[in-house]
Amino acid sequence: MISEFISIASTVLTNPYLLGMSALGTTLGIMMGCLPGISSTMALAILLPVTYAMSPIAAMVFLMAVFSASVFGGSISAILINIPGTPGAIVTQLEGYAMTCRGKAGEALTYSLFSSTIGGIIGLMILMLVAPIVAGAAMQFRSPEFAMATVFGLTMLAYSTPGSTFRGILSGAVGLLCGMVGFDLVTDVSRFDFGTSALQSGINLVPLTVGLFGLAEVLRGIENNTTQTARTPSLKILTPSFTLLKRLWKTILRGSALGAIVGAIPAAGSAIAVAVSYAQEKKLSKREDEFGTGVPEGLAGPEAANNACVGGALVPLMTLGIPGDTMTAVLMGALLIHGLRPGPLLFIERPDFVATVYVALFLALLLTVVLGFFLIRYFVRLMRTPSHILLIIIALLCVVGAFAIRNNITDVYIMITFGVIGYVMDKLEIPVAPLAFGLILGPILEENLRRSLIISDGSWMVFIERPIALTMLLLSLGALFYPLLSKPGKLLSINQ
Amino acid sequence: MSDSSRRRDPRNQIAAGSFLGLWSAVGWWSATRTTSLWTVEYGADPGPVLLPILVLTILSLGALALVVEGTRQILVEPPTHKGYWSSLRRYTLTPIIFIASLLAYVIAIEFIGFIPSSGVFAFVWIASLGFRIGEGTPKALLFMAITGTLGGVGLIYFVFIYLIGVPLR
Repeated sequence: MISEFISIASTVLTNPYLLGMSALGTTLGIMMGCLPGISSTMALAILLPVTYAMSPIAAMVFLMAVFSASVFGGSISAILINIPGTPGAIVTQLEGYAMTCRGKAGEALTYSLFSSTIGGIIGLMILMLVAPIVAGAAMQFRSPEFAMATVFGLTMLAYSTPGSTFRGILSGAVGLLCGMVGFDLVTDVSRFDFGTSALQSGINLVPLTVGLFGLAEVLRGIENNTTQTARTPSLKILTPSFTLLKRLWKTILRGSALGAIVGAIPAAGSAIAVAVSYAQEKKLSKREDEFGTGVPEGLAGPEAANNACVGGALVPLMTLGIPGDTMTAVLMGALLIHGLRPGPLLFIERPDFVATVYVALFLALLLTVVLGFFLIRYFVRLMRTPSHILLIIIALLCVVGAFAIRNNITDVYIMITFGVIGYVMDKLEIPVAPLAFGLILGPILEENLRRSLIISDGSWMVFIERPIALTMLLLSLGALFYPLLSKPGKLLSINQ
Repeated sequence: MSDSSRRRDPRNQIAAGSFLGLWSAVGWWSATRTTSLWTVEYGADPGPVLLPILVLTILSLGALALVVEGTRQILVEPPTHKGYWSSLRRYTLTPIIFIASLLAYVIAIEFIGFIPSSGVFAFVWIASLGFRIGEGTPKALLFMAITGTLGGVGLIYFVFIYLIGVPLR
């Protein structure tokens, strides 16, 4: 893999087009991440259609840059205006905004930038070390294991999404139904098409994700459109204090390791990683009482954890074909669109592509430092764009992006439908992320479930007799019934 | 956070259950109308009906459980907050108008083309949302709407239509 990495790295780094794609993705990622109301998932979903005309390698270089850079971008708004751009930046605002209030906005951004980059590189190194091992182990997987791994992934996401686990499961079931629309791949029987030819080819992932994560967010923004232009502070110094960076190295390493590990757990997500990192730094610090007033350790640790999660979250995606969170779910959609199916076989059949992902992430991290350092003042100016103008531009992007998939107006109507569904689900406090997961994982689950039952002559014992499948089944059941066992009788009514 | 503050409004339980129940009802209706799902034998393959049955059963039972739980809560302890439905209606009026205009915009693309329809849609919404939040004088509002529209539509036209070649004219 090292030789593949070096070979691909030299190809990418000497190719102006790929370098340009990475720089463009990084710039757009930071820009979109720093705009309040645009999450990394939304940025990826909106920009995914831009990659249709690209080769799979160029698409991955571009999307990895958007993914990685938007995570840092989310911290900019958290530090400067106390609004986290992404869920992983929730903790950043505690110390970052406190530093801004003390006139140290530039310093806070610098610590965030360097901690994020080091965290991202450590996350990437862990990905490079762990992924081949997990992929090797996953080579032992057969249909029953893959079927149960899919169930495990869906259950874990439902368990960890905000709102109740129970509603998350039902949202996932709706996603599975959406995934069944159109011709069954094995028997050619058309399901849930309501007699319309438009639905016989199935529901494409992109209109669904653009609708759920893009248009639904626009509708929420329009409903709450009361804020005007964000007032951003002046940045003053942007040069890092090397003495302080030297003091923070242990904090950054701790945060990075934690972020990569938590990120690799399906559905755990960056919000958990940064919260744990912040709590850990507070506990270890001699200035525990000063946390919340602008302590650099409380900023650097979570920031490193936040970006290390990127590498960690790619482990289950690349090795098992199970996205760990909504961002990697959109990335998986991008891979599928470009004819690549993530999983252990990818490491054998397309090691060049796996190496491309590593190189793309590495390049994105380097470019985030360079572009972040030199262009940050311009990104901050962009944050002054009135939110209502951004909302309308995003709505236009959603329409054009959905159309661009197949140049078909039906996809635009599907996008609008799922935008409304996402908005209604939000009103009804039903999590939307499991729906997107259900759509992605549904066909994989069905294929492996049916194949398992074919090889076992219809016996469901195949999922119990195989230890790995049984373990994942038990873990899924544990996640499913834990809320019921911990708070009997309150499963349906209490947020778990 | 205390348990009482985290407790959902029982009307939300019923509404969520009904929403999910609607999905399952439509799913069952469609599945039962597809005769080849039920009549054709596929040998060792359990066939394309297995997962729909499993998923629709889970969805139906789950939706029913939410409705029953919400109804039970209302019967045991009727909710005191009277304006639940009216507040939902009030806050969702603008998004409903937005969706209607978005549909009209998509239809208009087919007749008058991408640039004019996008221009009108963006201008009207940027101006009206700016007016709603009290964005300065009418002149400033107009300036913002024109620059926002030109910038937004121009950017999308350049990226998607000029660079990528999406056939929207």
